Amino acid sequence: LEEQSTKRNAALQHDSVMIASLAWLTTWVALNTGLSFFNRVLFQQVGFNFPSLLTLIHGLTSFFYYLILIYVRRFCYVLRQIWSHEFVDPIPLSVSGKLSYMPIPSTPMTSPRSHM
Amino acid sequence: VSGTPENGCTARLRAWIRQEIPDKIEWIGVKQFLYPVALIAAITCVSIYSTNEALAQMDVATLNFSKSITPILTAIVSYLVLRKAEPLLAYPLFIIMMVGVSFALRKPDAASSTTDVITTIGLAIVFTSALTRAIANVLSEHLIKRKDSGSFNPLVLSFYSNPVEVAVLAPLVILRELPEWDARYQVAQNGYSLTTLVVMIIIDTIAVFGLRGVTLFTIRETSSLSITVFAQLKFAASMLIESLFFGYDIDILRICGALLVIGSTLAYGYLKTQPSTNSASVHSVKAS
Repeated sequence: LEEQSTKRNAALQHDSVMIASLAWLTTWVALNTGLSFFNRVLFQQVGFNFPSLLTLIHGLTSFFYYLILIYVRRFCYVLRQIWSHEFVDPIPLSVSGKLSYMPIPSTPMTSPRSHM
Repeated sequence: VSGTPENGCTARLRAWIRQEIPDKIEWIGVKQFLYPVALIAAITCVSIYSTNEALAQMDVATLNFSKSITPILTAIVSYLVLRKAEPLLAYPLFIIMMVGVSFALRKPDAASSTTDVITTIGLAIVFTSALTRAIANVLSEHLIKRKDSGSFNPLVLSFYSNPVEVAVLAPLVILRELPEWDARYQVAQNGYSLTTLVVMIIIDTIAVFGLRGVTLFTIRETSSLSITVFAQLKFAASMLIESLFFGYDIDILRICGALLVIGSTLAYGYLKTQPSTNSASVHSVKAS
């Protein structure tokens, strides 16, 4: 039974890898084909006939898009922590509404009600 | 422990940034990481630039047909660098794929347009483009799939490649394209506004950013060879889209070409899903 279970698990894992690979390849082909047509329009119809300059712009913008992605991802992470009440605000608002420093606990606050 | 900061909002913001965004970017400071990334980016630039140069030597259809040799070159480079041997049956499939691409890209008026001359220089440039593309893909695969601690996240590799690409391409753009730069005039000639051009370029850059990430993730999930093989499907898809949406003529030879490309790609995919004996034999030979 154990052998059968192992074989079944291996087959399932193989199938999931195949499906994931196929999904990545399909996405890649679709994006690549779409971009080819878009570039054709840009070069031939619009008249922007500077392929190397366009590649240079791609390099510059991809760099900045990636930076944006890093910070958006980090911001979402912080938001998620706040949402789940696990975010420890280093400078929480006091009861009177004024800012005050509080010691940061060594372990994260797990109870949502601890902030109330 | 409590106290009042001298400037509430600034202090709060500064503390939030310091505490929650501690490691902004892990810049590569180690040469052993920087060198391969720079090498891959430089090789990619050579590939892009030679493709652009080849377009001046021949038409798009001939260029794409000549570049369909890339899977064969990738298989050879992959064997030399990664010691990954492809099944022998894969090579005839690549040849069939090339024939299919040549049929699929055939112009409807090919019989009358015999003025296109393929020069030796043109072929050499296309070969350079295909070879450098193959090398860049295989080296990327090597870097992404490394078993030791030096493996790269695909997005990180893409990120670090960008400055190198800019550094390599900037002199070429300044020397070759900037003297001809007059986008406002050129765009106006074709009846488009500069705003349209800018919006289109922004859309293009976002798509390219996505494509670069997806390319490296696909290489990680599959292989550099799979991606070059499936790239040939683009020609079959282009032919269908052209005929469906752009009203291009479609003849039986082009349909046969597209079917050959699709068939050989699927056959290659099927071949890869089968248990391989060749790669095992290579590793055993290497071990011995």
